[in-house]
Amino acid sequence: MKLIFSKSTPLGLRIFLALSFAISLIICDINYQPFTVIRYYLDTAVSPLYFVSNSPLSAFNTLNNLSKTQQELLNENKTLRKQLQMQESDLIRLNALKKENNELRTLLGSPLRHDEYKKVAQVLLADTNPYAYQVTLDKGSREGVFVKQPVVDEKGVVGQIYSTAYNTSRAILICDSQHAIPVQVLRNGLTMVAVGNGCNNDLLLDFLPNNVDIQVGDLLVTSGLGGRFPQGYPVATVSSVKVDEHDSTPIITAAPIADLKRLHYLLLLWNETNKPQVIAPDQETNTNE
Amino acid sequence: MNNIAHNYWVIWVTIIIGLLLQIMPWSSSFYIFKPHWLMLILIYWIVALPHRVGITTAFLVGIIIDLFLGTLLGIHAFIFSLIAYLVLFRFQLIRNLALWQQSFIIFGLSICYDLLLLLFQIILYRVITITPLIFFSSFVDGILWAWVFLLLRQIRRCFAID
Repeated sequence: MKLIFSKSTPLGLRIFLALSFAISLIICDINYQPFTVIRYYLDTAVSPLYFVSNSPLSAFNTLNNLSKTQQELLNENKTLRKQLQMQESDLIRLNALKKENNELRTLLGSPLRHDEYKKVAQVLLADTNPYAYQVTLDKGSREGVFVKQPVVDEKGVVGQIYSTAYNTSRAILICDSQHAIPVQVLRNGLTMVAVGNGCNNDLLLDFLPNNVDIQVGDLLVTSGLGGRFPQGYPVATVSSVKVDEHDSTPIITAAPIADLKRLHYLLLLWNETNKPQVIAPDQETNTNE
Repeated sequence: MNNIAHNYWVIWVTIIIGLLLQIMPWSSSFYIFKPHWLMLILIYWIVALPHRVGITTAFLVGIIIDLFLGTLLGIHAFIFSLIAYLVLFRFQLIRNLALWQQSFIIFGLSICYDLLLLLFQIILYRVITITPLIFFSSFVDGILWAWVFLLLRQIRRCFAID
């Protein structure tokens, strides 16, 4: 401080300079592309602190794991094994169905569906700012994470990557008011866009026809339009259907399926074309933490 | 002079601790009570040592917190410098108030912080997602101030930072 300003610099001038510098920074950050590169390096520089700030929680989790008795572990193992068995029996026919689906799609001339590659990421920081809903993940461009990459959890779509650093990245959630996601109703294939409305409120559906066939409880899945999210991931269930009294347009809200307030482990998705080199084939199958 | 330069780092250590507290994962159900740790620590140092910690420090801290929270670079820098200005403008008055009276001022500054954040939100993104719940965290700030103040004063005396 003393290097730049002598003690005699009036307070008014200093605050004026600071505020105008801050405003010009904001404007630069919004408008100029080169700034994202600068941010990338700055984010990379500060990212070790995320791991430090997360360490009490992870230490607590480790302690929790250490204090488990053998009996508890055995029980847990048993239930997990049972669960795995059930899910594997569900998956037995998946390969055959996948093949059949692809054959049908070839007959119809529609593009084939490709497998996705997944990788588990841990949430380091759920954002503290009440006006932006973002989370910081512990995987970055080193692991092949890219901007606009879809992020899901075991229940449904969570959001997409917003910015990356070398070993962390930041994801914007679907409930952020800046975010919109193309969806379709699973029941009848109607397509629309689900727009975030703050994480305390449900998503709003937009781009609807006036007499839309939609009911409370309908499942909305990603439509794959726009090419950013792969098709068929559950996003939300319709929670209320109302009609605007003034112009009789429907107002439909939908509750996100993923529990966006309690995110812990998330899955990053890659498709065939942009899959990173670092993912070995055996790695994406054994990704359970 | 030599002695003073030696202990100047303590201020930055407390600021970094405040930063860690600020970005620490916080249970979402208690999230509305989350205090603005960094702001409290910064205000203490400005009130105690206005010739050492001022608008420039506040600006730098703001930039760092912007990086961590992923907000546009400069938003928190703006808010922190403004708060620093408000405190510097009347630091002698604040210093002479009783601790509980200071708490009210902190409460006001904290609301100021939240409202400015909201203002930026409205200007930049054109969305309004106000919840009256933001006042809870300001309230917590006001209560916490007494402890932060006493603790930091202890630290300052311990290390004889002047």
